[in-house]
This record gives sequence, C-alpha cells and structure tokens, in this order.
Amino acid sequence: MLELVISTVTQGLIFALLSYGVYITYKILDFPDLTVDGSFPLGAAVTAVMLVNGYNPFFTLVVAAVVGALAGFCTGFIHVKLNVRDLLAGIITMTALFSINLQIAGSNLAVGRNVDTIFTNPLVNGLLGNMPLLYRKLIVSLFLALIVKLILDFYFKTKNGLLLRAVGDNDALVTTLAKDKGWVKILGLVIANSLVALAGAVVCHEQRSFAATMGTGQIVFGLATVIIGTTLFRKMSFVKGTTAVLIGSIVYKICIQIAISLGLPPNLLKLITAVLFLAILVIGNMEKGMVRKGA
Amino acid sequence: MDYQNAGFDDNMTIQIGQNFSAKNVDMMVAVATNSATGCYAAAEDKNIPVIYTAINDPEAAGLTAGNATGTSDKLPVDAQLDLIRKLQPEAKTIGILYTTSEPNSVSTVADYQAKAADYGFTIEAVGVTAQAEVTQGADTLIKKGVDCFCNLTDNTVVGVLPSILEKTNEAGIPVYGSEIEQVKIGCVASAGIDYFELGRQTGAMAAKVLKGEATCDEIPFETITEYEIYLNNGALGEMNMTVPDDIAEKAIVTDAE
Repeated sequence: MLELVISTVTQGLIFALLSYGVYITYKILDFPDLTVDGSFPLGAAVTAVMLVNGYNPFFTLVVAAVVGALAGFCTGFIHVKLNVRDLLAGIITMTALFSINLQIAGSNLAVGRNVDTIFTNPLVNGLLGNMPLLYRKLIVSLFLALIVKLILDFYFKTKNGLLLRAVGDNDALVTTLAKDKGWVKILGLVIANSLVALAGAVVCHEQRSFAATMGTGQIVFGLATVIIGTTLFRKMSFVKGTTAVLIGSIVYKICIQIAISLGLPPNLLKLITAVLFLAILVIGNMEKGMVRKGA
Repeated sequence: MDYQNAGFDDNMTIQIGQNFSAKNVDMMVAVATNSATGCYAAAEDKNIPVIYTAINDPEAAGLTAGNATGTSDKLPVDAQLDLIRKLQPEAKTIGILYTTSEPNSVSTVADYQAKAADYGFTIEAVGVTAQAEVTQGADTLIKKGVDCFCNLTDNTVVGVLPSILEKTNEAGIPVYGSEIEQVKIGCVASAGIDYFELGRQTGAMAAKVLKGEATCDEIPFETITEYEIYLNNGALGEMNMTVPDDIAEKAIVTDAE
C-alpha cells in the first residue's frame, strides 16, 4: 500500500511540472494553450534520443526545456505577431510538433535499462546510497518539483513576473506602463512550454521510453490539476498558486490510482475519474459556501 | 489474475504498472508495445518478470534484454505477398495505409517495401497521423490506381476498416487483411497469424518462468511462424476473383455471418 502511495505521489510530482506550465498560460495569462499536447512529447522525444546517444541525463533536462521554450515561442509568435486566435495558434504548433516529434525520435523509442537516467546515475546513487529506486524516484521528483516551484515563486515577484501577471489581469495597465503586452505574452508561453517539455523529459526518464501519442490529453490533465488545485485552496489565499497546482496534480493522480485499484471495469475508468474530479470541485465549492455563511 | 485495461492512454499504463508492482505480483503480462514498456519501467525496481505479446518488433521496443520476454506478432509478409500474387497474377502495385506513429506499422511497411520486388510488386504506402485522415488516404491510393490494398494490423487504420472497404468495393479494388478478424469484416483474403495460438504460446512461456524452470533472460522472444490462409468467399465473389485450388484446399473460409 505504502509503495503504491509513493509511486502515485511521484507521478503527481513529475506531472506538477506540466501543471505549473498550464497554470501560467491558463490561470495567469488567461490563454488556453493547446501547444501542451505537442511540447510534452517534444521534451520526451529529445530526451529519449539524447539518452540513447549517451548524453548526461541532467543535460537532457536543460535541452528539453530549451526546445520546449522554442515551441512556446512559435505559438506566441503565431498568436501575437501573426494575429491568429489563441486556441488556433496552439493547435497549429501542436499539430506541427506531432510530425517534428516523430522526425526527432523516428517512431517510438525505448531507452534500455543499462542507460543512466536522472533517477539512476552515479551522482544520485552516491547521494542517496542504496535506496530502492522507488524512493530515489520520489526524492528526485520532489526535488525537481520544489526547486521549479521556488524559482517560479521568486520570478512572479520580480518586475518582469509582475508584468506577466498584469497581462492576464488587466492588460490595459501593461500598455499604460509603456510595455508591449505582446512580448510579455510570448514570454509567458515560452516559460510555460519549457516547463511542459521538462515534464515530458522527466516522464521519459521515468518510463524509459518515448511514444508519439504520449502527449494526447495532457492539456486536459493540466487544466484539471490547475482547477482542482485552485478550487481546493480558494479560501486559503496564503497558499501560492504553484503550491495549489502541485497538490492538484498529486490529487488527480491519486484519483486515477483509486479508480484503478478499485478494480472498476476498464471501460468505465475515465468515467470514474470524471466523477471523482467533479466530487472534488463540488466539495471545494461547498467549503467556500460554508465560509461565506459563517462570515 | 488482475486485469487492467489502459484504454489507449499511455499515462494510464504507467499507473497500472505501478499498481501491479506495489501489489508485488509475480509477473506482469502486457499486450502490445505501449503496455509492455509501461510495465517494464514499473518492474525495474523489483525486477519483476514481464511477459509480452503482440509486439511486432521487441528489439526496437528495447525488450529483448533484461527480465522480459514474450512473443512477436510479426506478420508473415512473404506468405501474404505470395498469396496476393496467386490471387491476382496481373497485379503490379499494392497500396498500404498506415499510421506514422505506430512503430509496428512503420517496420512492417519497410518489410513490405524490401520484399515486394521479389514477387514483382511495387508498394504505394500512404502514412496518416489520425483516424480522421484514413479515408482521405484511401482516396489517394485509389486515385493512384493501385491493384489492391494490403491492410496491416495498424490500430488506427483497422478501426475504420469498414469505411475503407466501402470505398474500395465501389472502386472494385480488393483489400487483403492481416488476420482473421479483418477477413470477417470483408477483406478478400489474408495470410495471417492466429492470435489465439499466439496467446497460447505466450502462456506457455509465462508458465515456464512462473514455475521457475527458466528465467526471462534464458528465453529469447519467439515469433510465431505458422500462419493460416483465410478467405472471404462473399468478398472474393464481389471482386470476381477465383482462388486457385491448391490455396482453396488449405484455406479457412470465414465469411461474415
């Protein structure tokens, strides 16, 4: 049981990287960014190719984040400079990425067990001793999820980060500050998609494989976690948005694991996930209502 | 026995694999490549044996080393080409529709392209990325004037096989299947493997490992070599095709009920 909890939480921590990205586009910029379904496997494709060719596992994370940023830039450029609607700009990049990902990885790609990943390399092994892989995965994912969270929290407080938040809330303000809101939007998409590609890279390390279809539905997952997270913590204003989506991601993965563990009919799995998801939202709303009544 | 179906969702396979691992199962059995890689990754920590089946190319999927083995459902390409040649002595080009993101299909198409010349054929392959594009792909092949279609075990394409058959029947182009079910749906014929037999063979391997008679490392993956020829007389009749007696004798007739 404990093992199952650990591996489920690990999944939540890894996918939290993706949730941060969706949080930036959807919640802060108010931009429904469908690039995610393409930039997630993009990160995995680049990582798989690099791992197979013997590159340092940590270096792959950097490269994945950079190519993800490029994908985000494309969507931003198409939207801001070519005046294409936000939803369509994302769809265009996502569609193009499907081919690009296949081109990079050349069909699906497996990374053999003899290849070192971020979870199994001399550095991590040295630091964590002979800890079972299950725990190493938990610690490394926790470290990644927290470090990215802290960097984002810090960034949101900088002048540049405040501008980003302003574009979503009140873009007229940005213009009055004599800043170009278009470039701020592009920057937001760049950051978001580099995080999404980073998530794809970590998943590739964890799964030791890239599949062209692995991006399908990731945006749905991302939106769900952002909504779960922000709903759960709506009344607790001291909880940062990044913390909320981190928890949201873990909660979502737990919902799925519960659905699997209950041994429900496989064809109903998605339906059960939807019901659990709805239950969380309703409970979140009820709590909010109670606070109001009490006040 | 704990059955779980990932419903085509790659992320689901990860969590299902981990669920198995946490339950300390003695063995994971995975059908098709994505499930197998998911289970294999989840099994790494405890080195739980993974037995897979219906993977076209276990080597490319990275499942030939380590605590994993199973069976491949590599299609009998030579037998299929030979069958097409006998049923359509005049045919020159074979059209193939496949999905670019399905590794099984990509490697099978390469196999067909390599062997087609031996039987005097050229291959006209059209790759699609989604189910919605399949019928357009079929139109393209028909327009190119292929003499027949050869259908692989491509999940995306097989899913809309009836709508392909509608178009080809109208154009009078026979479609060959790759396994019995496709022939039942309305393909004219197929030299295909018997998935039931494949499962039996996989089960025998799993039993060996579970009984401790051998470890996965010691058993190389197996490719089923026996194939059957399946015919759909109704579809053959519509195409005005006749089957040579030597084939008809050993073939299994599987007309749609």
